[in-house]
Amino acid sequence: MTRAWEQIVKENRNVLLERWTSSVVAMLPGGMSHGSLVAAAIAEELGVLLDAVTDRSMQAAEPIMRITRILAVQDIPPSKSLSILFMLKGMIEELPVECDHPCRDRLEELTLQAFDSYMKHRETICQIKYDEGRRKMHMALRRAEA
Amino acid sequence: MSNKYALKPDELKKEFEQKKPRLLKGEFAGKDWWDLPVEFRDGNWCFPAKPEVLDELHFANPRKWAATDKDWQLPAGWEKTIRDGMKDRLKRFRSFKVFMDSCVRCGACADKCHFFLGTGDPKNMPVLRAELVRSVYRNDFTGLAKILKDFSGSRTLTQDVIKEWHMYFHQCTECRRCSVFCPMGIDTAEITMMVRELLNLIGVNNNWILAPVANCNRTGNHLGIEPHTFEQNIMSMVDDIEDLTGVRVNPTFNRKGAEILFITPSGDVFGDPGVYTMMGYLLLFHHIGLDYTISTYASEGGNFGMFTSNEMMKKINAKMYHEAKRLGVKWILGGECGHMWRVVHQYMNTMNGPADFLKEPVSPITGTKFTNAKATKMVHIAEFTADLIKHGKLKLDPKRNDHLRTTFHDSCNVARGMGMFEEPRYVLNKVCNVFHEMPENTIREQTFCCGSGSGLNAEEFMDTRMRGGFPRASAVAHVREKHKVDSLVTICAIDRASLPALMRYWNPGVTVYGLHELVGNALIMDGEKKRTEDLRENPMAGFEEDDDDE
Ligand code: SF4
Ligand code: SF4
Repeated sequence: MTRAWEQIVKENRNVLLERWTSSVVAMLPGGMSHGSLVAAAIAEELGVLLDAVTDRSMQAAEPIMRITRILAVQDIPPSKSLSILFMLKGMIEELPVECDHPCRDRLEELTLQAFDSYMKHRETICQIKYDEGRRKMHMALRRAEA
Repeated sequence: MSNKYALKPDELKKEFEQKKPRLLKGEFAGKDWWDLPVEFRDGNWCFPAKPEVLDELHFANPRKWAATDKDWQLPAGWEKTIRDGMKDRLKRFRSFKVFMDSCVRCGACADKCHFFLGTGDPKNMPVLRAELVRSVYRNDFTGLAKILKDFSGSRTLTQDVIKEWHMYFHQCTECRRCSVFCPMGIDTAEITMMVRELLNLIGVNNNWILAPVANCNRTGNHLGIEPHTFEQNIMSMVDDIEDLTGVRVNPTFNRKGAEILFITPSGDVFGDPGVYTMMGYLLLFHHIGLDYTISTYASEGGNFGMFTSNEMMKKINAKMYHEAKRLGVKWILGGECGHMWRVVHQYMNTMNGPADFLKEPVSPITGTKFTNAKATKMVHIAEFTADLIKHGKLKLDPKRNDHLRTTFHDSCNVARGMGMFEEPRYVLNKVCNVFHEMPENTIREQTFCCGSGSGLNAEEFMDTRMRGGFPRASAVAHVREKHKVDSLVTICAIDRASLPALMRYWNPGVTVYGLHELVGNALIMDGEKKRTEDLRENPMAGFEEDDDDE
């Protein structure tokens, strides 16, 4: 009998989380160690996100926001950063239990959320740059007017 | 919390083993660690100095170029210039020679750098950063290359080495956190200083550093502000202070015979939020009736010469004593700045002193002798204010900062560079009611850099700044979550310029303040009107317009 994928993910939470974390950390530049601050911060949030993947009553937006905030300033392309939920999909599918696979829908939905969030962070970076530049211009104008 | 920022010893050992030379994995297996490619991309390099800036400074190799260019148009014979420059500096600076020779590769520094913690890039481990030069040093200057095996390789000087130096010695903010943990006392910051000097000899540079240097050279301050504008800007703050408090303060400029010369970074005169800190100083000096003057020539405490070359640092610093002498003051009081204090505390006396025309500083209000400033004749404002408070000379109402829940960021240069930890905390605790420390291994001597120090505060460098500032931001996030902290107080002008961006990205809702801005909020001035707003014109909690029992 096929069972709900959410149930299977919950039963295999720790194994999945460990694999998922390893793969995400391995994707970071420089071969970052698991103990590094960035890796530890991502790992913490992946745990929260994994729970929200299966439990829709939990907020996925917060962990997604935090994870993409870290990824958005790493030296890795956006396509790679945003593949993290696809990685999870592969891992769920590899579990040695049969399940129907509507998990794809959920993970695609979350990937699109992650895309929005990633873009927002890049937008923030642009805005910060723009504002710093504008402040400099403002100072130059004050000098010119003086 | 205590080990959140440190790898466990076995992990560290593993990491160090994995990343040390000739143990690289994957496509780099069997290669040396320096064979890892150096790739300049948007966000990881600062714009080079404009040709006119170099012309003005008579610096080498003015040209238009970018770090992403394949050919950096290095001048003919650049290899000799670097070798000769290195030879010369090894002779002149004993520390450089000692640091080149004495690393025992213990790895204690490996995970201490905020750039390593925030990027995971092995070349950002301080030990490997230094190795980028040592490998050339060994090849060119010692007979050891053949004897030293395994970790210590040697290599020849090529344009790729220069590219790598440019990348990684501009991912070091000269913060010295690594040196705190080094059993040999190696200060990677000083190695970075040397390499940046060498790079300047062949025109490999950073506009965010050299444009302020050229401005300083011309008008005395980073922004190139001329005396009348400098004065006018401070006078506009005097107007703002009057509007807010009803009190008109009266700074003087270039006044001969004043007792004290006050020097602060120009960011306090022109930068936001630095100007509010300046307003705090002005209120404080008025409150105690200090006999002080401000020079429109020594109009900059900051000294980007420190990130350029020893000679440039000395030249830019010289105006402090020159102006003190010209104006005939007794001693100098210095504002809130980081690297300015590194220069003043560690180099000024030997570079441009002795200033025996000045007196050993004594507070005219409390009579306290600042014996620690006997050599330099320059006192840090946090110390000066702490002494005033200790002697009960300030009328303060800390409730006026009740709208702020604060934490304190130790600036690298003040904390590690001059060992000042307690004075700013003492002042902060007297002027506000809510203060929470960040985790112990992120403050005081172990403080994490803002990620933008040493002239790396350029907009185009934003991604790297955000990575480098991640450890500091994480520590702020910790107190934000635990204690609802919303105000990050600091005593450094670069922090005041860079931390707002860092907070906006990692911890939105956290605002950056200078210490003396909070002092200015709390000071009960003689003859003041009812204060309802802080210096930023934000409402103070519990001091609303119609609230009569202040
Ligand atoms: S001085 Fe600071 S930035 Fe430079 S290597 Fe050491 S810890 Fe890193
Ligand atoms: S801590 Fe000092 S001796 Fe040890 S590896 Fe780092 S620089 Fe070398």
